Amino acid sequence: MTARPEVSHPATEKRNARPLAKKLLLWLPVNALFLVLLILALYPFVWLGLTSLRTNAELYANTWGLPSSLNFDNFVKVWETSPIPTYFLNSLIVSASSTFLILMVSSMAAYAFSKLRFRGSNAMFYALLAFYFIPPHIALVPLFFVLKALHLGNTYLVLIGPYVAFAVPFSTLLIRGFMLSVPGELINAARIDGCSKIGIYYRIMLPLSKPVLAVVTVFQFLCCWNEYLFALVFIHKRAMKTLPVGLMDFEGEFHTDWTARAAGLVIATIPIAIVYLVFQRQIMQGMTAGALKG
Amino acid sequence: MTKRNEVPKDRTKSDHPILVAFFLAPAFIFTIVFIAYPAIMSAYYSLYEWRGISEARTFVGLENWQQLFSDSIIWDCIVHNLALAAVAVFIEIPLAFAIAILLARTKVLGRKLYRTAYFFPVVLSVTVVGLLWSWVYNPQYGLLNAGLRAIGLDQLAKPWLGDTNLVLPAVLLVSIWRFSGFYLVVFTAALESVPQDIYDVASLDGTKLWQLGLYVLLPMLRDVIVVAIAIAITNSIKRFDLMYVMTMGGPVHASELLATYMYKNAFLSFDMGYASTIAFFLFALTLALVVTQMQTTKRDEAIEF
Repeated sequence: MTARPEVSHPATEKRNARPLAKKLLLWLPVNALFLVLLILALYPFVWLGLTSLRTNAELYANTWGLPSSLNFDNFVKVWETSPIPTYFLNSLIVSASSTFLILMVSSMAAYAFSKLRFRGSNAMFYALLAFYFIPPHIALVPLFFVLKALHLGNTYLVLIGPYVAFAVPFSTLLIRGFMLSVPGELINAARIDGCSKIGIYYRIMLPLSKPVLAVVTVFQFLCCWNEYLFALVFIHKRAMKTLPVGLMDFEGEFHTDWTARAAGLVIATIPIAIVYLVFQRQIMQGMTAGALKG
Repeated sequence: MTKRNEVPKDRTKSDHPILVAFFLAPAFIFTIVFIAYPAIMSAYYSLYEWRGISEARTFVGLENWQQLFSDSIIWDCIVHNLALAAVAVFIEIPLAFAIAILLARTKVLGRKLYRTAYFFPVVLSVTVVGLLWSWVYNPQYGLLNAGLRAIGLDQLAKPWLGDTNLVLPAVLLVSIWRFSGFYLVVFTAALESVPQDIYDVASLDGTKLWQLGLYVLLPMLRDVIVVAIAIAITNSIKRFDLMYVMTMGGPVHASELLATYMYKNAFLSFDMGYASTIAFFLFALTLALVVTQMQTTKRDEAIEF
């Protein structure tokens, strides 16, 4: 904040002297534009929420109408008569276990690639990173038969295995980048105090990497939660389906019960909305890291 | 990629191979079992005629590949995938870039609220998005037709997802709605790295906002934009779930994508050999793009320094 001697630059004066009306002329349309975009982005959800509180008769009479009263019957019906609670539980188990394994496996590899010395370290890092560029589609058909041969069909493991594998390269890249910035003096000090290399990993590197581990956790949990292709192909038993695939079945079963369908979609949206509002920063960092660091 | 923080004392000595293996084995076991092995098998299957039900496979050499290049549906798929990519590159990215600059450089009330709202569709599962929009487009009870009827435009009310000419534009619109927020957040983050001096100089010169965006910020963020375009195209080639949930590729392949066509060949017609060929083709396309993008960004660095 060094003082700038002369503020009376002609251009600044001209800018400051710009009439209020002219400023408003820019300010108003810009703010109006943002408001319109906000409505476009969120209105479908508002409508969904309103519809879930109505009855089918009300919906048939007027698609855009408001609910006549606060009526949560649709939610009660969906929660009690549809398998959505089961789908929820399945999604939670699969996503949580996958995320835990992703964190463990990636942070271990990241530690080796950032703080251990061994021949071929770089080559092996790039080999692991190469898997990041293989689309899941290519593994789909062969994995289907591998999992069948291993008799893993319709268990949580058929999803957890591929989810971990496809998440590890990118997560390792992120965590390694962070671990590289941990100063060597810290590790030296720990070495002198007699800490083993494994001890350094979980006593020093893991606690220090908390910010990046938080990003990986939230981001990968969300990816697993939303995953569709593998969940569609590998799981056929209804009781084992995850929410994104189960929701499709639900929509089929409640085909004509429109307001119940709305309630089902609201139930699927709310937990994600809460997670998003709480961990917004981590989610945005995780999702955009590929574009900003790639 | 700096190495200056490494332990100086152990410089000359490598860590014990067992220690290294302990830390690396899990990552390589997972990726080899669930990615490398299936990918290789996929290449192998693509040379066979295989129904998937029994072990009986017939070696057909490159016949599946011949079929792929003469299959008119494959070309339709490519056109649809390219349409998704074009919408991302020519609408989503420019829109997001403009909005990111407007959000960052004008006095907006509730800037954070807007960013949060615009990004929200990005975090939802595609099932929720797809089902929601299928409903918006529903001929009888959909928001869109109801809205059109309400303002007296009854003749414009259409079965949006049931018409072979309308289905693709309808889904492309959902793509814009769902993905623009992603690029907005990417560009917003990139704009934060632009030094304040640039804005100071620009405002002293009386540069208009659109000039600043077009002549200053666009070249400055070129690398991020190139990566964003590469991501947009790769994702457009890989897209499966949005189309599967909304249209299943129909009606009559009018919105078929490579991935939905691959899925249908594998799990509806049980033509595993051909499905693997399509999967490999899709992989080759994304790989070509990644290599192109890497060369583009690398060359820029060479020019700059």
